[in-house]
Amino acid sequence: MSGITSDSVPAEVMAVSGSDLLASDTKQQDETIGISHESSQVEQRHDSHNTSHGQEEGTATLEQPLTEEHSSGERPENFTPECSESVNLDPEPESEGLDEQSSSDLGASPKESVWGTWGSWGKSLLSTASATVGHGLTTVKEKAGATLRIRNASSEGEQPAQAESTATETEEAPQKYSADDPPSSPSSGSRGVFSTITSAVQNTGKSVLTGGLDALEFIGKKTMNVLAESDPGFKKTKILMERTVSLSQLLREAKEKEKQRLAQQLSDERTAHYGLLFDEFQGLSHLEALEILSNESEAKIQSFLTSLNGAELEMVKNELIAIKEIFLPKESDDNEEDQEKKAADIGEEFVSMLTELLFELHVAATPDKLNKARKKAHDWLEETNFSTSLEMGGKNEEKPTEDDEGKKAETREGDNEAEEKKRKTVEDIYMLSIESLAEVTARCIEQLHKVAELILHGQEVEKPARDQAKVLTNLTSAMCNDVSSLSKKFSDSLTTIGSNQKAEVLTPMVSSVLLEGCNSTTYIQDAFQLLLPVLQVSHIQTASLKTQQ
Amino acid sequence: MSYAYLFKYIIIGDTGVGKSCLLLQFTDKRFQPVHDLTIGVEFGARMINIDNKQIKLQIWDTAGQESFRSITRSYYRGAAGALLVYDITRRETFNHLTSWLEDARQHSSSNMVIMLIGNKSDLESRRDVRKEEGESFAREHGLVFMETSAKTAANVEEAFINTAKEIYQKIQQGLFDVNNEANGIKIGPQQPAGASSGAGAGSRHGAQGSGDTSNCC
Repeated sequence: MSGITSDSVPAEVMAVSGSDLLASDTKQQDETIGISHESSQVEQRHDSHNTSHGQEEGTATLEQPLTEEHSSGERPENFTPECSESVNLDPEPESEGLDEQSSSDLGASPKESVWGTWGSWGKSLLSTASATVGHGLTTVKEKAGATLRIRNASSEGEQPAQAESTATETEEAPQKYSADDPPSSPSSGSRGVFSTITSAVQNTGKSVLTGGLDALEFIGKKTMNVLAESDPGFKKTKILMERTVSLSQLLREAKEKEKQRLAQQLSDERTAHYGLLFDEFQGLSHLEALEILSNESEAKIQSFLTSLNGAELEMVKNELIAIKEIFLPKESDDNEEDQEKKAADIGEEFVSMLTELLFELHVAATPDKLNKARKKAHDWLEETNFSTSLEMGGKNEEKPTEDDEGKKAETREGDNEAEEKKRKTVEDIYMLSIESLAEVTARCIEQLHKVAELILHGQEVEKPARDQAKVLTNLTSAMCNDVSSLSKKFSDSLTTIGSNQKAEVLTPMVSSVLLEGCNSTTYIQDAFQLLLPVLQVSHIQTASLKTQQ
Repeated sequence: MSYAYLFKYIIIGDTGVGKSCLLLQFTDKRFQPVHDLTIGVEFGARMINIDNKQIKLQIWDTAGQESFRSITRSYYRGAAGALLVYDITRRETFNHLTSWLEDARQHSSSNMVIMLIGNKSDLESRRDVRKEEGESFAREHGLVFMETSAKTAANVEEAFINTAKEIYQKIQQGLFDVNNEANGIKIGPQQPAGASSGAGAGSRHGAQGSGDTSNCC
């Protein structure tokens, strides 16, 4: 694992955005977000060989969890180090899962009744978590479980001393924590109230942090998305944060969705599942392949850099950083309306723009498949809107526009066909929306994967990597805008067509479409970030070729 | 669709031997005489049934062109099965087998099942490599051998499925560690296999738990 853990978002930004969040909402949400945010940091460290690229030193990021924890806590200072320590998941040997943790807690001897108390609480928390997440034990979870167990053993020894030293705080603690604490029964504790509460508090924190990592991360992400709907200012923060979600997490989430689907299969055959569809369109495969190329490129860069020294090293480093800077997400000053307008304007221009950009890259990639997927989505959207406008036209006889008249004339000819289209239910439209989003996103990622392959493949006439980076940045933002505008259009047409539906039926569908649209852009952005080491390697290769000549 | 296992396959071999056509025939049951050159890697997936178990094949169809070789090698890792394809009407594609095989062995798990495929068996009149030669090469290197035609679909199904059977057998024999994804095998969600491994984990938990207690006391 390289010691370099850079990311698209500097640590400072993360910290600020984190505390922004924390200040903005109820305590419950604070904790969820704070923790999920933190856990993604943890995961990043674990997966840093997957996601790390770039040359910054990772120290800032490593400090991150501590800062986060402080900001999220109204917890007394003493407890904080405990909690953050448990998050310090430095590589542990492969180990057992969380269930084991809880079972060992339960199996503790009567003397350990204090521990039994929090243990069983932890268990219930864990089982809630696993109910959300499914039964798959991921590496992160396993490692977290192992650490938690180790912490147990060690904090066991420290317990009495700690209980004394924190006595003053713990007197206040009950009031502070009774609200969200487990029903810890002091009478059962052989070590008295203080230690019971301390351990309950400390260890609850730990269980939440480590045990529920995945679940909370998942929930936190959804929470943020929900928050974003009602709070436009929050949107940017959320986008920033979402960019730190690792690809492995994405893969995992997709799997979880699949599991959920399987669980629901009997009761609800017809639910749309973005993750599954995305996989069916080979989106995951392309992402996986891109990740392989990215990791190998990263490794090549590292080994190349270690072969350099002094001024030469500095020079190459600066060049690589210059490329990286182009990849950093920019805080655009455009307000949302402008963005939307832009997205809408792109429409048909997208195709030519895409081709042009790919041509500019000097790679022989053709956007055929992506264009086809887009066309399919847009054709279908038009068709849906057409049948909607027919219905609308029928209802609002008072003000038929010219357009409607024209369409009506057409309908008389193909009455049956129109009838057919009218019968499209809201569910049909919802399913097709999700499917289209999944397909277009998968094709975008395939496109970026192809670009990566062609850049590595090398062409005769090559653009400097920095120029390629700029073009790729534009390409990615064009893709993201297009996907967002697509999901916007889908949700609009859902809203129109489902106007006679109950809100309970319609709202989840509309928000799900918007949410998947938002996720789609995240996936594309993630894939884009994987291109960075690829471009950097290509730069190194071109440069060394030049020197040879 | 739920599945018990997922196997990762790679298809390798010289350019133009019909790798992508084999895949298309297997996944879509159709033949496309003119095919674009594959860039890097393309994907296909299909569900098959072995021993009453659903198995998902995730197939990585690599570019055959020499210039892509260094990229496609990256994709070998973590494959459970490989189809090594040559064209029976072009001897040079047969002559290059050794180099492909070396590459495959070097960049993937030693347990990877490799199926040697002489494709375009429908072009008997233009045959340049005798079937016996393929057979003996396979015997020599411990591969399974088959002649196929992506055009007529002859043996295509068999080639993919027999490879899967071989992998499945290796799993039964305990040669593959199914929990190590580097072997190109993943256990599907909520399956008997998953449940049994869960139970196994449960018993391990118990053992660990008692170990824990002794640590505490």
